[in-house]
Amino acid sequence: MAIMSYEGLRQDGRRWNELRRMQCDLGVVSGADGSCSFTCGRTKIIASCFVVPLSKQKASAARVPTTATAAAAASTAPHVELRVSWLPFATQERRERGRTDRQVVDLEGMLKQTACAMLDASSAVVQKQTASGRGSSGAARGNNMEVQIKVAVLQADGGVRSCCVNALTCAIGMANLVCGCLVVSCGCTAQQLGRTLRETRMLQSRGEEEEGKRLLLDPNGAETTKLGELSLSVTSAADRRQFQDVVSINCEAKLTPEEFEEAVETCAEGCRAVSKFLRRKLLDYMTKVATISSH
Amino acid sequence: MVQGPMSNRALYAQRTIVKRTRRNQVVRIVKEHYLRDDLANPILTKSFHGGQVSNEQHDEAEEYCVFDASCFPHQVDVLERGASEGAITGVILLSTVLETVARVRGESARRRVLELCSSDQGGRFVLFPDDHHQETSVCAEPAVRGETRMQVDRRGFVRACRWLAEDAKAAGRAKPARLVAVSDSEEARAALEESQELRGLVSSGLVRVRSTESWIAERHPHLLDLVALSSTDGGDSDAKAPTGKASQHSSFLPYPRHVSAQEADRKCRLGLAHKGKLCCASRFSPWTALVKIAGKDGSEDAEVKVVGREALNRATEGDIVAVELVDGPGPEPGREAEAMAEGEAEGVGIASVAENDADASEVSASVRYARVICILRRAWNEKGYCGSIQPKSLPKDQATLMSTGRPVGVLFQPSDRRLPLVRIRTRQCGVLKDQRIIVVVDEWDANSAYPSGHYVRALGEIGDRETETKVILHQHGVSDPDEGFSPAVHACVPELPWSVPRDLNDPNRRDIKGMCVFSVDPPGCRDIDDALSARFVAPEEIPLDAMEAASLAASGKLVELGVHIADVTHFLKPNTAMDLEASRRCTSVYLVDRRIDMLPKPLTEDICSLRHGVDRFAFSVLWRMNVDTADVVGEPEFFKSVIHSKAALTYQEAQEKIDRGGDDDITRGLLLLRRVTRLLRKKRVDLGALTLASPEVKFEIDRETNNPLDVGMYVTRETNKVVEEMMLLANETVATRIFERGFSRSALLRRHPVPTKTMFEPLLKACQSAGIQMDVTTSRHLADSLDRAGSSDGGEKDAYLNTLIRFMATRCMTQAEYFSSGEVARSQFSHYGLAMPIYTHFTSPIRRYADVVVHRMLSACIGLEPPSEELCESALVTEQCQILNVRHKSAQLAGRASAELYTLVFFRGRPTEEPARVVKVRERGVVVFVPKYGIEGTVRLDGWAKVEQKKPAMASADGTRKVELFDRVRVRIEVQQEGQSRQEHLVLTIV
Repeated sequence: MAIMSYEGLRQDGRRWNELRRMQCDLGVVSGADGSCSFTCGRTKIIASCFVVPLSKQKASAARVPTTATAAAAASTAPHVELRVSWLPFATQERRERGRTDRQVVDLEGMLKQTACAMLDASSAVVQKQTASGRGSSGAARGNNMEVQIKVAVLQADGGVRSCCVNALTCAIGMANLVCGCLVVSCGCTAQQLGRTLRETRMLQSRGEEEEGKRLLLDPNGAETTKLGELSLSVTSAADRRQFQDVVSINCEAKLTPEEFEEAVETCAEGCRAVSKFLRRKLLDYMTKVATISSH
Repeated sequence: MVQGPMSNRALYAQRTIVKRTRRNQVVRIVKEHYLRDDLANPILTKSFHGGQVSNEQHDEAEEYCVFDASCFPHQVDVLERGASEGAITGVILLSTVLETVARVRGESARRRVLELCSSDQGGRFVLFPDDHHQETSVCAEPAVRGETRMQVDRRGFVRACRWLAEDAKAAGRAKPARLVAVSDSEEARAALEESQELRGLVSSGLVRVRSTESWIAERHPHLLDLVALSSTDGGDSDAKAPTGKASQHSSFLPYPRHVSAQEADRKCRLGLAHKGKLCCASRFSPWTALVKIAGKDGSEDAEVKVVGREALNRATEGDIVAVELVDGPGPEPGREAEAMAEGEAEGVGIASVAENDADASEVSASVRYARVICILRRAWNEKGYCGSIQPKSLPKDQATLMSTGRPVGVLFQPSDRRLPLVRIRTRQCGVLKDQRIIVVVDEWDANSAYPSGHYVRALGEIGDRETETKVILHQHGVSDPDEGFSPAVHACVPELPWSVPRDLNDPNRRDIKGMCVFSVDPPGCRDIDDALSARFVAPEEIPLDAMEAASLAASGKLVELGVHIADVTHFLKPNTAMDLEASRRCTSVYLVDRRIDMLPKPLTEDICSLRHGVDRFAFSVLWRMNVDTADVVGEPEFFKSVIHSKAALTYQEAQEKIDRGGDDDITRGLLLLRRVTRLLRKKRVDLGALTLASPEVKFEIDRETNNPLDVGMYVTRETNKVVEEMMLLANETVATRIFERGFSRSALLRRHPVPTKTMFEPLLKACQSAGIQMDVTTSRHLADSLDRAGSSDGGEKDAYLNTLIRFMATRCMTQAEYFSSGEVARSQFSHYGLAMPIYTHFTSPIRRYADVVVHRMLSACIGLEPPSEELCESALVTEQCQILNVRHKSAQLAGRASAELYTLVFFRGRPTEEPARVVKVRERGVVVFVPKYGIEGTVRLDGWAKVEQKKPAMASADGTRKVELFDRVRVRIEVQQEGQSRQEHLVLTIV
C-alpha cells in the first residue's frame, strides 16, 4: 500500500508535517515519585520514577570508577537504574521480549543515557521535596541517591523510541528532581518518491517534489515498518526555547546526506511542538498540586 | 511549518478491521484515522474546464458527476477516451471509490485513473479524499453489525453526494451546481433516490441518479460503444443478447460456479487443489490448456491438462487459477464440433529461433487432467485485444446492420487465437464490420458462453498493411509510432542543424579527427552507431617504458584497432524526460518497412549517428595488438573523442573493396581488420563459440508502393563477420572493465546460460533418427558436431541440412539475458553461444538502452562523471534489466510478426511452388521448411499415417508416397483467408 493516499494526505489522513494526537496523564502510578502515561497515536508508554537512598554496595561500587568517564558521571549525576519492559501484547503479533531482547537492551541504553543527561545538567544536586518528606532540609548529594525508572511499552505503533523519551521526561519532571533540562524527542522519515526506479524518475522529471514533501513527520507503525525512522532527542530548556542541544540521534531510515540534514531540521521543529505540549501538561499538573497542597 | 499535535477529538477516529490471516487466525487491526475540516469542496474551488476560469463563468449552472464503486472500476476506458477528447469534464472521483478500483482491477488501473486526475489533463477530473473529510467520512461512526463492505461504501457515497451538493448550494451562487450520481447497480440507484439524506436534493433537481449508459447517452452519445456492460444491470442485457450466440448455443448450460478464493486457498493447503498459471496448449484454440503446478514437498513441478470449456470454466490464457484433478478429459458434448468450427488451423509463418513451442501433440500419455475451480487472478490485458467482428454473428438484415441508433450484440474474434470469442455491443456495426478493432474484456458471467467486453477503438481496414502493422505493434506492446514523443522529450534534443562546436575545449574529449575512421552497415542504415579504425603503429609512438610494444612496433607487427561508438550519453542525460522515455522504450523496434525509434529522430539519424564527412562525438575503445597472434598488448584505452568518419560503407561495398584490393587508407584498414578478426574468430571458435543459424529473411521493397517485391534469406558476407567480431571484442573488453574496476556489484552484463541436457532432447532425437552424430556435452563439442552435420553422408556436403540442424540447435537454447552482476554468481556470467566468460552490450546506444547504461558505467569508471545512484545499486539495475529483457523480446517478436505480414502480402495472389525440407513429423502431418523464404509450417496430410520405422516418416493411405524426416519435397505456398477471424494464413500443400 502506498504511503501517501491522495491530495497530499497520508494513509491516516495527516499531512506530511502533522504530529499524531498526543495524550499525557501525570501521576498514573500511585506510590511512584513521578509517573506518566504518554500516548502518541496508538503508541502508549507508562514511565514511573522512584527516588531511593543509595544502598551501600552500590555506593561503593560507584566510588571505584573503572574508567575516567564513569568517574565523571559518578561524581555529577545520581545513580540511575532503568528497566524497560516491552509487554507481549504491545504489537499486533504477540511476542514476549525478555531482558536480553535486542530492542529492549537498545532502548534501555538510550533511555539511561537520556535520563543521565537530564539529571546531570542539574550540577549533581538532587533535591527531593515530596510530602512524605525527608524534606528539603535533607538535601542530599546526588551520589547518595538512586533514581529507579521503569518504562513499560503498552502499545507500540511507531515512534516508540521518541515516546519513551517523552514519557521519561514527564516522569522525571513530575518527580521534582532538580534537573537542568527536559529532553523531548520526535521522529521523522523520508518516503521513496516512486515505487520503482522509473516512477521515481518520472516524479523527479515532473518536478513534483515540493520542498519537504518527501519527509514525513512522526511516522506511525506502518510507515516505520516500510521506511524506518530517524528519531531525534533534544533538550528543551524554557529560557532557551530556540536553542536545542542534541541529546541523541538514532537513524534507521535510508536517507541521503542532504535528506538527513533536512530530516533533522524537521525533527527539531517537531520537538519544539512536543516540548510546548509537555511543558503545558507539567505546568498544569504542578499548578493543580500546588493548589491542592495550599488548601 | 510543523503543525501541532492533532488533538481535536472530533477529528479523530479509529478504524478497526477484522480479518482472517493465512493461518486461519482472526486478528483485529486497529488503525488511526484522522478526519479533516480543511478539505475544500472541489465544486467550489477547482476549475474543471482547463485553465483559469473566472468567477462569473462559475455562476453558470454546471453539472458534476460522481461515480460509485459499482461502475467506476469498469468504465475507465470511456472516461479516458472522453477526457482525451475533452468531452467529459467535471468528474469528481472519490478516493474510496478509487480504492475499489485498485481492489477490483488492480494497481495498474488505479494508476491510469490517477493519470486522468493529474494536471496534464487540464484538471477535468478531480480527486476528493472523502474518507478523510469530517462531513463525508463514515469511518468515525460505529460499525453496523453485519454490514458488508459494499453497504458501507454505499452509505459513504450517499453522504459524499449530499455534502458536495449541499455545500455547493450553500455557497449561494445564482445557479447552484447540479450533481449527477452515476451508478450501474439498479439496487444502488434505487437506494440513492430513496435515501433519507438525498431525497430533498433529488426532488429539487440538484442531484440526479443515472446509470453510466443513460448518462453517456444523454451527454456524449458518440461514446456509447465504449461503455462496459454490467451484469448487475438487470436481465435485459440477455434479452438483447447477440443473435449469433442464441442460435449457436441454444442448449447452453451455465458454467459451474467458482469456489471463493478463501475456499480455494484452503483446498490448496490441504492438497485437494493446486495453484498455477494457465497456458493454452495450442496457439490456435482457447479450449485446451496446461497448468504447471508445484509438486508436493519440493518434488518436481508437474503439468496437468485442462480440456474443454466446462473444465476450463471461464479461465483464459495467463490467468492464475486453482485446479482440481479429475480422472479423464471428461465428456464434452459438441467439443469435436466446436473444434471444427473454431478451425484447427495449423500455423505457417516465418521460422523462428526464439521460441521453443511446447508441442501439443507431443504431450506424453501419462498426462493428468484437471478442472478449474477458481480463478485467482485474471490476466486480461488492460489495453484490450486486437481482432475483428465475426461475420457470422452480424445481424442478417441490412437495416439492422446499417442502423446506428440501436445497439447490436456481436461476437468479437481476437487475433490471438488463444482467447475465446468476446461478446460486445455496438451501434456502429456497419462501420466496424470490416475493421480491426480493439476490445477490452470486462467479465465472464456464468450464464454466458463467452466473456463480454466493450469496444475501445478501431485501427483501420482489415487486410490493409498499415492496419495490420498497428495490430502487430499493439499486440507486442510497442508504443504507437503515431503518438511520437512528447514535447518534453523533444525539448531535450539539441536544435538542428547541429555540429560539433568549433571551439570545443573539453579536456575529457580527445580529438582524433585525423584518424581514418569508417563505418560498415546494412544498406539504408541511417542510425550508424559504430565505426571502426585500424592502422599499424610506428615505433616512435611507443613510450619508452613499453618494452614489448616497442619491440613489436619495430618489427612492424603492432597494430592499433579502434571501435568508435556514438556518444549518445553526451546528449541523453540521466533523469531527463528523454531518458525516462528511452528507458521505457528500451529498444528501437525494426519492422520490415519502418523503424520505431528509442530516441527522437534528430538524434537517431543525425546528431548521434556517425555519418561520414562530419565531425561527431564518439566513445572510443583502442587496442594495441600483435598482428600475428591477435594478442592484446598493454591495456585497452577508453576515452571520449571527436571523430570524422571518412566513409559510410555498406557490407557489399566493403566486401568489394576487400576483394578488389587497393591502396587507400580505408581498404588498408579493412584488410587489416579482416586479418586480425580472422585470428580472433579462430580463437573464439577454439573456445567453443557456436555458429548458430537463424532464418532471417530479407524483403526487397518497392519504394513507392511499399509492396514487397521479393523475399529471400539474409546473405551474410565476410565483412559482416569482421564488424561483428570487432563489436564482440569491444563488448567483452568493456564488460571486463566495468565489472572488474568499478561496478563489481551492479554492472549491467549479458549472459547466455548453458542449456541443460534435457533442453537438447529434441535435437538429439532428430539427429539420432537421421543418423547424424551429435555431441552436446560442451559448446566446443556441439560446435564440432554441428560442423560435421550434413557432410557425413557420401562426402557430398548438404548445406541446407546443416543449416536446418543449426536452427534446431538454436531452438534448444534459452535466450540470452541482461542482468546485474550483483545478482548472479560469478560462475554464471558466461555467454554460452559466444564462448565468452563475460559479455555486455556497448556498441549500439542509439537503438538499445542497455548500451546507454553501460556507456554511463564506463564513463564513471574512467572518471569522466560521477556515477548516479541507479548505476550503483544492484536492485535498481536489476529492475531496469527486467524491463530490458521483456522489451527486447517483444521487439524481436514484433519484427518477426512484421516479416510474416510482408510474406503474406507477397504471396497474395501469387501461389508459388518451392522446394522444401521436412523438419518434423507429427501425428497428422509434417512440418516443412522452405529455405528460400524462411517459411516454416505444418502440411496437413489427411489420410496419411505415421510409419513405424527408425527414421520418422509418413506414408499415404495407398502406400504409394512416403515422406521421411529431412526429405526434400516440393510445396505449394498460397494465401487463404480464414473466414471467421478474417485473418489470412499461408497454406502449404505437398505437390
